[in-house]
Amino acid sequence: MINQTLPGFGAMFDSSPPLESVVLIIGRAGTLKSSFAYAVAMNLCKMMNSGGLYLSLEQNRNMFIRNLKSIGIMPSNRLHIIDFSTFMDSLGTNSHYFTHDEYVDFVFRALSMELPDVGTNLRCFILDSLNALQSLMDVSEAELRRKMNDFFFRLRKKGILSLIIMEGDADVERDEYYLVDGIIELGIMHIGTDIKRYVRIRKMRGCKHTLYPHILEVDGGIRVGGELIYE
Amino acid sequence: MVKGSIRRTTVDFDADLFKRLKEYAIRHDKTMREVITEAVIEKLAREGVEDVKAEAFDDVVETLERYISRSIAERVVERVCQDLGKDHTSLKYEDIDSDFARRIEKYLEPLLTKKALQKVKNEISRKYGGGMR
Repeated sequence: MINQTLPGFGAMFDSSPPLESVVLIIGRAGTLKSSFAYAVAMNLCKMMNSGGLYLSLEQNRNMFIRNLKSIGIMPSNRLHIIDFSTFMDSLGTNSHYFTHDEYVDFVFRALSMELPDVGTNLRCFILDSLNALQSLMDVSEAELRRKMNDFFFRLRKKGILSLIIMEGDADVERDEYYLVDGIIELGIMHIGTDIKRYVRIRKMRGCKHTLYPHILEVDGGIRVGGELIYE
Repeated sequence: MVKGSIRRTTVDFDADLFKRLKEYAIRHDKTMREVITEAVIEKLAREGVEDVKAEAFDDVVETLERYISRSIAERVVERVCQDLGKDHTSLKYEDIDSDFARRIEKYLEPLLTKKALQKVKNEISRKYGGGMR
């Protein structure tokens, strides 16, 4: 069903990926990771008449909503935005106020908390971003991999679509790539004097999909265009 | 009648004790009800104060636990106590008034939906209504 969430996105899939998946949305700064994830989740919630949670660890809710509107995405009540940074600011505290396990606990508590506006039928979760969560978890590399494995396993057990936003270059190998069910890369490509946004499915368990990048168009919302030709 | 008070408080006093109570009340320009209330509060505070203190703090935290994790709920209640100049380790039920509830709501606003916030407020009001001014 995720393949039907954006106009043109379906052309990148031969079949529908399982809904109970943990999918990384990876890209560098300015590649529309947050807006893309929000648009996919919002449309999925509408299609399934269900609710979702968007957990923003660093970006202020009002600023994020302004950004969404600026590219033609009207926020929906079905997708509740948890503004953790404003919460921390209001407590007048810094990130070391809680232990790393408390942050992870917060994520899973959020997934089971009572949200009457969103409803009990939670189908989608977005974490913005994994880098922010990891920065709060001051642990060794080996320990981080173990914790990430547990984290993704617990998310998968929730039986919902989890979109995990990650800042970085998709070509740089990371442990997380092996632990998740899907990887969607967002990027910007220079073709001669032209600059194009693109989306590429690098991995999606349980379905067939193209590996070629497609143009990502931002025009009164987000839509996926044709295959990106960049010879 | 005081808001949140209970009228069913018929007590058979020893005649001599009643006379002493009446004289004490007149001497200190208080009603007998006020004197008895003060005496009961003092007695409870002297004998069971630790239990009462822990109960109020834990009780509010437990109410919030339906919406947020315990550690975060504890920090929020601690912070509200700090804002109100109260020591969270000695929070009493009578401290949990409408101002207290409003402050909790303010801190939770970035995390919860509007309806969930309303439910938190209603829950606090329902559970500690007697203490809310």
